Amino acid sequence: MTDSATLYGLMVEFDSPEALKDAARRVRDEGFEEVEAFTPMPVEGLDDILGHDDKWIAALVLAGALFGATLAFGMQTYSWVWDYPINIGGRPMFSWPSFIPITFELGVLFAALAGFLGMLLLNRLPKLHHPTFEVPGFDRVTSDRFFLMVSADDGRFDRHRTADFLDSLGGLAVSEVPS
Amino acid sequence: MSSPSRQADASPQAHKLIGRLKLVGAAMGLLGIVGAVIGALVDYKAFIETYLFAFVFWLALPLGGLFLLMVHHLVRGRWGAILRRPLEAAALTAPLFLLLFVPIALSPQSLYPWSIPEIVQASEVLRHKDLYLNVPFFLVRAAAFLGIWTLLAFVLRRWSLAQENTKNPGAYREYRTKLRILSALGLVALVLTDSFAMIDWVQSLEPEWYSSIYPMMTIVGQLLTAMTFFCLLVLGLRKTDALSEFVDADRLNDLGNLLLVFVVLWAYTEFVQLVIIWSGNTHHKIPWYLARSAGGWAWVIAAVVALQFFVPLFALFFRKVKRSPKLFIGLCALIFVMRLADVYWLVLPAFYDHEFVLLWQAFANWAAIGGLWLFAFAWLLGRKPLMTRSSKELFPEWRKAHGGR
Repeated sequence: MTDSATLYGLMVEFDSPEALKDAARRVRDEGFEEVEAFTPMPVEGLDDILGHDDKWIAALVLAGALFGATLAFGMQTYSWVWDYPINIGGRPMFSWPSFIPITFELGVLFAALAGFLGMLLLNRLPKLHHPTFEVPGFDRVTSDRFFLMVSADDGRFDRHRTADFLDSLGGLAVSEVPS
Repeated sequence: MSSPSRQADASPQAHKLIGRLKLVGAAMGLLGIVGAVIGALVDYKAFIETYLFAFVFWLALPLGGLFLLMVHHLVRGRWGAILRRPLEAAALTAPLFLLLFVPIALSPQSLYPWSIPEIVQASEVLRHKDLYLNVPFFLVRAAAFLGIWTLLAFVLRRWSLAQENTKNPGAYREYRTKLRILSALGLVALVLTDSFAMIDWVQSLEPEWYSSIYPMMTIVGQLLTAMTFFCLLVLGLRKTDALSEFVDADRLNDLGNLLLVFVVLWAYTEFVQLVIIWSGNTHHKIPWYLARSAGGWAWVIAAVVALQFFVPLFALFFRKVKRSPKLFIGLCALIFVMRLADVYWLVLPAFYDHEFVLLWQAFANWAAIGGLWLFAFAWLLGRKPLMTRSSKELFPEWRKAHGGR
């Protein structure tokens, strides 16, 4: 497959999420692993079809939440119990109920930050250019078109046979994505 | 669309299970009543104190059912479509509680310090509160609350059945509008009456104490109990001919998300009360917590916080738990049992503020009221098809298959 070296992948275009989901199912049944979908809005169930069960974001968010909560609780405990104890109204120095709101807030803040930054990092964003931008008509992916791409990295990828197969899915057009 | 035949809607499998639930309720109720009567003869004080606990626990089901039913009429959605009939049946049990209130009405002196003149005379605060907290007004209010709930449940059911039976599309839509308007007004009425009921029946056990978020906290607790029960019901009936077409992993996911909402809301209201009283740190507010943390009571609430909040919270974050019936049933059962501990902790320390006690009468009364309730609920549920036409219409697949509008 020498010619596949110059290709990033093959792209097929659809005009509805249902058509995209049907096609994605058939592409997966055919045994392709490196499949990517591009849609103007979230399509329910597409993740499962494509087999994207990346647990990294969930783990990152949990780590962020635990870090934020521990930081907040630890900071308050340290400052109230050891660093600068002030007796207010005879309450114990380790006044944990009043630490909870800040603990919760900081837990949520760091969870959100970890999720957002983790998403950018895992998607290798921001990026100024991507090979898919070369596909004619790809700009409509932000309004009313649905694209499915088989990456050239896939073990079963073959420039001509894969193109023929994608052609048989009944999409609007099949295009090559130059790398 | 021609009228679907009644036979096709009869769903024998589902009704067999509901019949079994009725038997379980009857057996539990009979055993419980025997236990409760013995309990009352042996130690009336322990009987009536635990009776209030059982009454408050089971009241969550008609009230939670009524609340969720009206929310469903307002916002619709498929989560409620599968629950509409069970919610109606639960709400319709409200008059049963009018009957069950009789033991409390007969002996308020065994429960409420404000009903004993000597205690009222000795306390300046209670003398001022006497205008509201006195036995005749207490009874009138109780009758009014239970009456309003019964009326709401009956009218909602009546219009729901009328909507089901009408052949006229105009009337059909009109009933939908009427149900929505009544639900909007009814929700306001329910939250207000339920708030005052919780103040009267539970908060006033310690009449010198008050907390503004207490009614909200107890109502959210009721909703949590009710939601858990209805999740268990759907999980139990999901494979029967009545529901199998409508309940899939997505619906269980919806119910799980709603359950998560009530779990979090419960923890929020419970914690807000604690942090406000902690911050205020005043002598007329803290006794409530002192009574509920002395002599082992603290362990009860610690267990409730761990098993009714933290475990369900993290479990319900995972789609797998919501979508796997086995795990979901286990989680609901856990929350339901912890609700028992929670309500026990809410009520009993008012009488036993030095030491944790586990009275056997609590189980007898719980079984007596619960059995009666379960019997009434299953009987009401078994009288009508489990899915209504208007419920089924919320499912696009069903509309497609049956050529609905």
